[in-house]
Amino acid sequence: MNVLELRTIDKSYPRGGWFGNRDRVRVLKKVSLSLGDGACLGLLGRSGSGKSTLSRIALGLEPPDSGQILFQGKDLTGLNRRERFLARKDLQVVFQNSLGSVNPRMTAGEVVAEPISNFESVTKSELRSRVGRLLEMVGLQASDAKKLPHQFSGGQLQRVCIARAIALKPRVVILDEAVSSLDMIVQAKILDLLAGLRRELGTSYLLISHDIRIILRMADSLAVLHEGEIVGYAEHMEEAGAIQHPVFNALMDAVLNPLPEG
Amino acid sequence: MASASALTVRDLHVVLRNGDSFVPLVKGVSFAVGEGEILGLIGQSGCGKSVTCLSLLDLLPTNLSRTQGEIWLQGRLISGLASSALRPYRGRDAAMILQNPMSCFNPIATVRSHFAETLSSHGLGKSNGFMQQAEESLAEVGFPNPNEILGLYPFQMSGGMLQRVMVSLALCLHAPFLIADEPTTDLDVLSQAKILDLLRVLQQKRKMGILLVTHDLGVIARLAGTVAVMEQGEIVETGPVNRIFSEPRHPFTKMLLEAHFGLYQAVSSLPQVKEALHKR
Repeated sequence: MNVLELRTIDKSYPRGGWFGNRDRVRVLKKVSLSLGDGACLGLLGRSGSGKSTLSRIALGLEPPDSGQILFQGKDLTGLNRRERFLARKDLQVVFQNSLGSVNPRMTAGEVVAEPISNFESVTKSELRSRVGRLLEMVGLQASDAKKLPHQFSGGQLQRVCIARAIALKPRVVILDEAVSSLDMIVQAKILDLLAGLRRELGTSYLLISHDIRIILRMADSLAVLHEGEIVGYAEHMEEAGAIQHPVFNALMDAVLNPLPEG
Repeated sequence: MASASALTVRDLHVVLRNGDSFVPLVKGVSFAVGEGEILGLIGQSGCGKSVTCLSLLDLLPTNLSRTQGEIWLQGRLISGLASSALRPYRGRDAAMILQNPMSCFNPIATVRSHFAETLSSHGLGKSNGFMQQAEESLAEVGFPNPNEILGLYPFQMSGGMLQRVMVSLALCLHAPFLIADEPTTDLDVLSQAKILDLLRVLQQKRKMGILLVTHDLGVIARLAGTVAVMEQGEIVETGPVNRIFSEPRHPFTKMLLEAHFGLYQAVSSLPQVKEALHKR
């Protein structure tokens, strides 16, 4: 069964001109994708290919011009307030820009605690220990809960965002370039952590990245997005070699050598 | 030693002032970058890489301060200079490019005004030829239409384009030394490859020394000649890039390499990548 399904999504934005005659740019053209229960789908594309628009639409943060978003079989756009609220518990996201995704006046502890106290009634001490455990899971310390966002480095703050996203053990996590700015040791740790959650809880991931190294490390199927269109798809990673598209080849070509040249 | 090297740093200490207490961030860091050499500084996020960079030209935020250390730039001791006395050095003797191009530009100023500001703060803005200098600089980083680029605002460009503009802005004064702090981290792999190639070309053409800060060993492998590995405010290992990759000595370096090669485990299963890596 598919836990998240996008059907022929179209999206365009107006461009230029402050008054009248604004032409529209089509950012997504009939995009269809499906994410199986417990699966990890890698979405590969250059910056500007429409990856992030797609993730905002999948989250229900933006309505598509046309098309359907099915989350656990229900159309997200047709949900009422209550149902949408409940869907959010199971559909979480980690964005690339960590500093822009947290309230600068909330401590890390408050950031991670927010989804828990939104959806569950827990005592203060239980909340504190859960937040501490979550922070430790992502390689921070429980005492970091007292810090404000600007007191963290970018990589540390990204881990706070990941802790927030997995706090409620959601069904689906959308990782929008979530690990690309992390250093390699933390990146490896976070990818292992996410893989572990997947094994334990059956969490599904939509892993969005421009870096095939990260996608290959974690995903089991691959879709290539270019100028708003899916130009390549492999149900199983072993079939990815058959994808023939200039953009896909260029992205492969740009992979850095693991060893120094010469 | 100071004369042969573009930049020499000895026993650098930086602390964070937190009320009455001091938290050490950089603890006695020493390194040297030779003329025309690229030194890669690698470490985890929060290890003090960026703080080290900022302290070189006295650009630290007010709650951080350099408490100790000598900084020699082109054979001149600059660590004792007051911030105002350092101004002429910034951009002219040592240029700097930073990680996030979007936040480094004034969003309501065109590329032309950014060049005007840079050039005029070094007393070059009034001369007639200064826009020509800007155009040459933009052409050098691979823009076929520098005149058009000068009229653009930051939001009209992609991250990769902006980063190239930043490189050209940084280098328009022909500084012999460049500090590049995570220059490609926010870019997609194609833009990254372009910027890295560009840095390589400029470095060879101008015999520029570069301090390249990154957390990606792939970037180090592509560009650096020498590597310094930083862990929690200290440099734990320094050596030629080939030696570091083939026989790392410090446990932390080994850990970095393990994470790095782990990232490539699955990559070689894709024929396209295998082919691309093989070609080089």
